[in-house]
Amino acid sequence: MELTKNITLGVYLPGKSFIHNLDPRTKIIAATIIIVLLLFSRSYPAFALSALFIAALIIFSGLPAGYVMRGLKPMLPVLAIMWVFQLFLFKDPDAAVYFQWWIFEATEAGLQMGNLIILRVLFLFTITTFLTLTTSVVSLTDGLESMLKPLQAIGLPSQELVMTLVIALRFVLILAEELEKIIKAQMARGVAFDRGNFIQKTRKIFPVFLPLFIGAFKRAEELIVAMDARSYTGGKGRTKMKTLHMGRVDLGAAALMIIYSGLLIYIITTTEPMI
Amino acid sequence: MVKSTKKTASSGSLPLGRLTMSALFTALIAVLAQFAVPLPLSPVPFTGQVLGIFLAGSLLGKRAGLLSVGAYLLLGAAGAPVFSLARGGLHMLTGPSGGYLWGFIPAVYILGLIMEKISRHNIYNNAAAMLAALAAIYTCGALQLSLIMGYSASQAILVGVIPFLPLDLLKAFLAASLKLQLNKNLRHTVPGRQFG
Repeated sequence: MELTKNITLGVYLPGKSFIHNLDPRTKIIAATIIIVLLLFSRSYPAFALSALFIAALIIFSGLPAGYVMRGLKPMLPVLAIMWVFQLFLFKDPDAAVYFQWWIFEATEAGLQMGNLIILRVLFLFTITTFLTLTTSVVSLTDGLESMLKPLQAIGLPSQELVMTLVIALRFVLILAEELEKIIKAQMARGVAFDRGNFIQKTRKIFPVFLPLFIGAFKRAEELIVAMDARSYTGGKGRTKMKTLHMGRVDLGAAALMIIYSGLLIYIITTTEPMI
Repeated sequence: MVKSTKKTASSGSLPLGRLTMSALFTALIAVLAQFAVPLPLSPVPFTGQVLGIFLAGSLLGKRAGLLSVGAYLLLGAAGAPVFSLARGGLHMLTGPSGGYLWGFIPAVYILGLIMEKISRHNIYNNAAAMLAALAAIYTCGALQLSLIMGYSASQAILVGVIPFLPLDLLKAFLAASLKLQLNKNLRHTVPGRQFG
């Protein structure tokens, strides 16, 4: 199963840097600000500043830069295709034409648009990968839960959401294993998954999915009984083993973010956009 | 167990049984998402996720369905490899194909809502409800695709909707017939719990 084997991108790398020690909420807010500003960045100097800032963050975090960048590798072919797509499909009658063939023409506007999008996607991926590399799943979900808490007023069950998440995390691995077992069992009984035409192949999903679902429901039923027996009554009154706490480092991070955003907004408004 | 879940229901929060079932569907969506084929020329892969969304919306109803999908997205955003091709991380939601993911939220709600309104379930009205959910996913997906990639509406539809349409239509019918079959079987497997 893919799920259990290749887990590389977006996995937490423990560390002791000040970025690791930040409150997850600070990191989520900072990442959101950086992402929004990136969507408004349209000039090379603006991207250069963001590149410097992100590079500084990676150095401070003590993560191997190569590891952070490795997550981008599977993206490269897709990015290349996107770039070509933009180059030929972005139409602008006023732009200089570089190259023409049949109905396709590569214009300067297309080239700039392609570059802009590649830069934007690269930066988006880097910053969000960086966030998950420096924050564990548990603290990220804790942070999200506490940020979602105000939404309880409009009926969003933040506590239930996180409980669901924690149970689901356990179920995923169990189900992935069970799926593998069922597929093997049905193959042993003579189901040839790779034979037949399209419709026949599609119909073979049933002998896999029905046992999978029914088995899964039985498991869930057992869990309900077990939780009930231990008097789980929902989110109300539950306490946390680790409580979130904003400290001096978070203030420092906020100051850093204000300087970066101010500078970037100044650059965005004063420099010539590429398109 | 049925008695106690009723008791917690009266306190306003989702009963334990529904909560656990939501978690189960979160996991099922994650596992189904691993059946994925990357397509050339498009940043959006073809996945089995939608099948999971269809089943969550139709078997759980709108509220537990929302909880299940919300937990799925949160889990993926936090970095667990639950999205298609064992990917995970916030960049999946912010990237070009992210709209297809957060589009699951309105989709599951719409599906749950319609399913609760249907009085006599058959494969056609069930599949139709799933197609309504699919439309919500496509709308959100194409919207984000055009926002990030700078595509026009027609370009976004060309890259982000048309290639998926035939197989997604098939998936809707598949999910509808799976759902009806499951409804029949589950009545014997877990008596006392209501689905659909």
